[in-house]
Amino acid sequence: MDASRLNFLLNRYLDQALTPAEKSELEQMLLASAEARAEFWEQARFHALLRRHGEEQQGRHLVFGGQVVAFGVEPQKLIRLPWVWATALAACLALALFVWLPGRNVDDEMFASEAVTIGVATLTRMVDASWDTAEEDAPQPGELLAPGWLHLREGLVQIDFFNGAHVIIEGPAEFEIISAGEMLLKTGRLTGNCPPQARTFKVRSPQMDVVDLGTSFGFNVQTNGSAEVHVFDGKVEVSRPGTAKPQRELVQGEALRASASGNLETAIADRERFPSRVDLEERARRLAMRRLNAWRERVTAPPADPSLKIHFAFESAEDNPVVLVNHGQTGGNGTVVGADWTTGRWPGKPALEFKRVSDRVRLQLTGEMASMTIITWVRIDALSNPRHALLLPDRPGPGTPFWNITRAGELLFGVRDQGRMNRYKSPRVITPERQGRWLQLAVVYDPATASVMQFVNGRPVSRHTLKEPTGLKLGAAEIGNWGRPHKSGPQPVINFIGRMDEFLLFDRALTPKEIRASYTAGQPAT
Amino acid sequence: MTEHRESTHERHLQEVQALFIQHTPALRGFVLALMPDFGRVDDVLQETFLLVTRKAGEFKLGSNFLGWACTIARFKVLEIVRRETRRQLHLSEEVIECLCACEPEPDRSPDERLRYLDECLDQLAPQARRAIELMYRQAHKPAEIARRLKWNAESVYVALSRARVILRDCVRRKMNLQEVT
Repeated sequence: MDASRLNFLLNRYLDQALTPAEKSELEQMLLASAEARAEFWEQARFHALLRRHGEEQQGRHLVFGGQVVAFGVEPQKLIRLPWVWATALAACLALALFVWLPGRNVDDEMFASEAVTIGVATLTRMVDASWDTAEEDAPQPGELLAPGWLHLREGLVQIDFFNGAHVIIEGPAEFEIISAGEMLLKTGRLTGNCPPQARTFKVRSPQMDVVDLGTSFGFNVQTNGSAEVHVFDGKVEVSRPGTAKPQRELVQGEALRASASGNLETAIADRERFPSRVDLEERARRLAMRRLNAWRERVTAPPADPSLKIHFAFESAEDNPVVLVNHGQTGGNGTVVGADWTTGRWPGKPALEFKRVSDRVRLQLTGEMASMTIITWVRIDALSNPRHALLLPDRPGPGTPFWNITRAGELLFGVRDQGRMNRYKSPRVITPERQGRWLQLAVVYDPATASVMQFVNGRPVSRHTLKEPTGLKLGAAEIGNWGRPHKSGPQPVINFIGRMDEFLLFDRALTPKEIRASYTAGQPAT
Repeated sequence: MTEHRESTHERHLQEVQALFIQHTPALRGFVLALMPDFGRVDDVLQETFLLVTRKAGEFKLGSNFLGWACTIARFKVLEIVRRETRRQLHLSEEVIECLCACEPEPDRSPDERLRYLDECLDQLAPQARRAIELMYRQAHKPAEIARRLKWNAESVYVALSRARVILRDCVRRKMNLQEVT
C-alpha cells in the first residue's frame, strides 16, 4: 500500500475534492487493505473532531470575540431573574444562549452583524407606548435593555432593573439607563419602587440626584429644567448632580422642588401626580379591549384578501368546540382534536391549548401555491420535544412544506423536493424569556426573490436563499402535530406545547412591511 | 393494563431519545466520516432520530446504543448514496459497508481530545490556522477558502492536510503523555 498516496486521497476525500478517478482509486485501496481502512477511520474521526471543536469555538466567539454578534434580531433579550442573581448571571446566560449558535445556515450578512451589549434592565410592560425611534428598533415588552438613551413619546412603561428596583415611566420622557441600579431622567415623570432587599437605586437628573433607600417615590423633571421628588414611602437622599454627599434626606410625605436655577423648596408629597401600577393595569385592560374589538372587526369585515386561503381566528368556542371556522377563501374548516379551549392574547379572546401528545388541529388545503406566507400567534409553553410542530402535512411528498420549532428554539421551515428536504433554520429565537409570552411567528416562501424569510414579532430573524423553487402543496395537514393516519405503531413525539389563537395562510409572499403591520395590529396589551 | 403498557412504552421511548441526545456527538462523527459534507450531517441525523424513535421498541435498554444507532445512521447514509449515485460524490455502498464492518471502537475521552486540540491549534502558523478555522469553524469549502485567502485551490488543500497532520500528532502526543502521567 502506498501510504503517502492514501494520505493524499484521504485528504482530498475530507476536503470533498476527489475526482471520479481518484475516488475509485481510494475505494480500491479501502476495499483491499485493512490498514487503509484503519487510516480512514483515524483521519475521518479527526476531521469530525475538528468540526466539533470548530462549532463550539464559533459559538464562543460570538460571545467573547471582538464584538458580541448574534443572528437573532432581538438577541439581547434574556430571561428575567431575581435581582440577587441577575447582574452576575447576565453574562453567563448570554453565553448559554449564544454558545450553540452555528455559523452557517444564515446567508444574509445583514442578520449577522448586529452588535449587542449585555443588558442591565428589562422592559417588562408597555401600554399605549411609542418610542421616538424607527419602529423596527423600538424596544418591545420582555426586551432586555442595555445602557443607553431612550425616548418615550407617549404611554406608560415599566422597567425592572437588575438590582431589584422597578420604575413606571410616563411619556413623554427622555431618560438614560446607566447601570443595573442607576438611571438619568432628563425629562418626564416616573414612580420608582425600590424594595428593601434591592440595593441602592439612583435616579439622576440635571437638577438633583436621588438615592433611593428602600422606598417608593415620584420624580418629575420638566423641560424647563426644574425637578421635584415626592416620597410616598420610606426615605430618599437628595444630592447635587454628580456629587456623592447627600444634601437632604426626605421621608414619607415630603417633597422637594429644585428650580432651574437650583433653588430648593420643600412641599407635600402628592401621589396622584405620578404614574402608578394601578394606572398601568387599568390602561392595559382598556387597551386589550380596544385591540380585541379592532381585531374582531378586521376578521369579519369584507372584503377579505383573496390570497388569504386559511384564516383560523379561533373564535368558535361557543356552539361547536371541535370546529375551527375558516374565514379564508378556501371554505374548509379545521377540526379540533383533543386541544382544550382557553384564553388567548387578550382577555376574552379564545385560544386552543396544545398540551397532550395527541392534541392537534386537522385541516385540508388543496391546490398548488407558487409562493406562501404563514402568520400565527402562539404562546410557547415548553420546548421539551425534539421538534414542535406548527404545521405538518400528513404525507410528505414533493412540494410539501413543513414548519417546526426545534428543541433549541430555532424556527425550522422546510420543503420536500424530489427525494430530499430543503431546510431553512432560523437562529435560536425562542429564547427562555420568550416562552410563556404571546408571539407572532411568520414565514414567507418567495420564489420571486428566491428567499425564505422567518419572522418573530414582525421582525425578520432569518433569510435564506431558496435552494430549489418548487410549487407548494399542503393537502391534508395538521397544526400542532403530525398526523399519519395510515401508519400505526409508535409515532415520533413532536407535538407543539402551548397556545395558539390565530393562524393565517396566504398563497402569496407578504412583504416584511405587511408582516410588521400585522404584528402591530395584533400585539397583546402587556 | 393497556394504559400501563402505554406508559411503559412512553418511558422506554424517552430513554431511547435521551440516549440519542447523549450520543449525538459520536453519531455526528460517524456520519461525517462517511459523508464529509458538514451541510448534510444535520439532515442525516434528523432522519436517523426519526427512525430511531420509530424503532425504539426494538432497542433493548442496556445493550450497545451507539452501535445500534450507527446501524440506523448507516442505513440513512446508504439511502442517500443510492439516491444520489449519479452525483458520484459519495463512497460506494460496498465501501461504506466494508468500512463499517471494521469501524474501530469510539474514541476514548473526546472531551480531553477537544481540550488538547484547542491547545494544539496555537502551534499552527497564522495562515494555516486561518484556513483550518475557515473550514471547520465557518464551514467553508476549500474553493471559498481559496477565494478568501487569495490562494490557489492547491495551496489550500496542501495547507489543510499539513495542518491536520500537525494537529493530529500534537493531540496524540498529549493523549499519550496523559496516559503515562
